[in-house]
Amino acid sequence: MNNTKRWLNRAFLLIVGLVLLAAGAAAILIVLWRPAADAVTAFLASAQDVVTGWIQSTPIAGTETSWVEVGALAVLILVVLVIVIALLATIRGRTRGTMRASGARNELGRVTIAEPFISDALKHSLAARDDVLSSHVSMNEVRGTTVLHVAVTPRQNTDPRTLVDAVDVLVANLATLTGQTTPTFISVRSGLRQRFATDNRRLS
Amino acid sequence: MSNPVLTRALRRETHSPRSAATAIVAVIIMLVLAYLAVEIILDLAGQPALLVSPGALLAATADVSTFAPGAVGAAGVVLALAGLVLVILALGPGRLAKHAMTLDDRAVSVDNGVIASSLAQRVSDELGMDRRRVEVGVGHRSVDVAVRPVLGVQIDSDEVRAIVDDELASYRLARTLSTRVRIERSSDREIDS
Repeated sequence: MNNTKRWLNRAFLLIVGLVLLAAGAAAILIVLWRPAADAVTAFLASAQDVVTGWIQSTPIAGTETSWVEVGALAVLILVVLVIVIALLATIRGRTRGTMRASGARNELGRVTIAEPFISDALKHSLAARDDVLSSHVSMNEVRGTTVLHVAVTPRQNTDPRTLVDAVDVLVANLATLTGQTTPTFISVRSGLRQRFATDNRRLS
Repeated sequence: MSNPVLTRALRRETHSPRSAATAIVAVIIMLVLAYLAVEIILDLAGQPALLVSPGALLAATADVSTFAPGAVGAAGVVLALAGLVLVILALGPGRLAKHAMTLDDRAVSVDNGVIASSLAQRVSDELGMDRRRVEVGVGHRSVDVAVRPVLGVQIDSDEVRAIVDDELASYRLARTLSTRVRIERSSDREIDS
């Protein structure tokens, strides 16, 4: 579970896709329909005249080049930087949540349990199961709420329902221990490791 | 499960973020822009162009309708197809090979591969068959079960379907899957190990 800006990815793909689609359709239209070819030629010729005019009216003193080229270079560099920043923003990765659970107060005081203990407790409990190859426990922020994510990779042929119910019991026990109920997401994943590990022999 | 936070978490887990496609397209665009920037820098420095000078590129773009129709048409088809693929990626649901399970107030997702291997094991156990003779594929809406019995052994497809449906019911998946069963014939030369 991560905080990739999914809407940004899809918006980017949509915009680029529409531009390519329009360019491709225009190219096909030029070939198939003479009036379209004439219209495109006229438009591009006038655009070229405009750009040529800009270039000729903004020469760089002592050279044969133009400030338009410098401006175009600056725009290209800016666009590349924007794309790089946007790429980094879309793969910001997991936003770690934090969990500090405080149990009930008694005559000895209040017990506060930090996240590493919670993760370790769950992982060790799951590791003791024969049908679990590996597990990963993390806290993630989803819409400002901390969500406990338990990801489990079972051995081949493991009944997913039995495993999910067992994880549910562990999480419920954790809630009892900490006195705090956290929204929980359980994912049961297959993987390369599962293919090479021994099967889970189910007793039918 | 009515928790909107968990509903969102489940959707994020079961649908593609399109990060890979975005990264590929972004890198291609950056390479193209970088090339154009290099050509402009070479032109500003009075050096020979790498491939095409900015002025020649501008002139060529204006004369595109005079190019060979075959080349323009082929380029148009390629661009249009690429654009169509990207639009479909952008607008499509991008469902991953996972299913949601119902579990009170928790969100649960299970990979299709996990469901498939568990179903195959149940079928082979119930029928007393070698596990390798049962193949199961799990899709978004259906389960496909292929059973290849030993030569001479009769397998009832309805029995297999009942086993699979019973096992699926125990999983309590959020979406009901239909079951397709195929009983395949073993080859005459096959030796059962």
